[in-house]
Amino acid sequence: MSEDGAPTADDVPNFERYARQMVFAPVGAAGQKKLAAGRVLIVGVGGLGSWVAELLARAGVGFLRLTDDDRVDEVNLHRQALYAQADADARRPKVQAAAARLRQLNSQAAVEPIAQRLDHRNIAALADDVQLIIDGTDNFATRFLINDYSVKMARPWIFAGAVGAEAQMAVFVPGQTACLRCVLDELPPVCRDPNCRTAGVLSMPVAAIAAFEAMEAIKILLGRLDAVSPYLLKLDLWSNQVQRLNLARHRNAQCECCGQRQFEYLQP
Amino acid sequence: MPLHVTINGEGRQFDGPLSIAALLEQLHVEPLRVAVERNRALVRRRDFAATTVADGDTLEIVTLVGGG
Repeated sequence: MSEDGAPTADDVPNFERYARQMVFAPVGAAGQKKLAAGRVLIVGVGGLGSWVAELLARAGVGFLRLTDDDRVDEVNLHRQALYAQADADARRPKVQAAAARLRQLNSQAAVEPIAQRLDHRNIAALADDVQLIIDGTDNFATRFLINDYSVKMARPWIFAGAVGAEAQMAVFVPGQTACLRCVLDELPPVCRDPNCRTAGVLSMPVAAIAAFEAMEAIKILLGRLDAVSPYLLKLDLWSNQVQRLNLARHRNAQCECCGQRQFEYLQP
Repeated sequence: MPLHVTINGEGRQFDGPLSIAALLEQLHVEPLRVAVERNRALVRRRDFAATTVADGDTLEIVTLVGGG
């Protein structure tokens, strides 16, 4: 065990529960050990983050750090996997309710709840010792912050968003794919952002895209960057349309972030 | 001059000349949070106004969404 209770690759936890998963050849017993030693930061445990956290905990990822400063509300319950009616009634902090539920699901997972909003002051402390950052946020300012940190520290992150019956995700692997700012050169203003409150959101696209995010996370933790999706993937579950935009070929030397290595969102 | 372009896999016709910025306006697509790929090359937002759509172009337009 490491100091924070997370298993290390030297531990021999009970892998019986992962039997069906280890039969899948790219996982195997060796891969399961890598997952047990895997360390992930999930930024925001709302719709996307809560589903991803559940999938990763069930899959045997050894250490999950959750950050969110919000509390469970009744209007979250239709789409946020880890929360029950009682959590909303008590207005429990999301990270506390999520951590309790994840420990119920898999006591082998070390879950660290951090009731803070990710910002330029705490990102280094919260992301320094993980292999991967997962975006469960609801805003582009935090995503630009994560993107800057990811490129600076050469750490992959997974973007996702959902609105209405639509959801999308992309894996950003520094040195392998474009970064978020190759795609969006300027921060979209908050007031015009079609977030969940103004446009509505269903649970199904959230759960669907969270599964894609979790799958990509597992590939990264297994060290299989060759298998990671190069696409900005968009699913519309209402019209059954799938759209893909290949990000691997779009690295941009003019990009302020990954091309010129200016990390303005890490500054105050 | 009519422009025949393929947008998100669908054949469309517009009157040219037309910039990416003008095309997005005609499509009622908010330019601030959109990824535009023209003939397999990404066009950044600062280049939307100066980039001209040509007859036969293939465009993929994805609006990035914020919520979760």
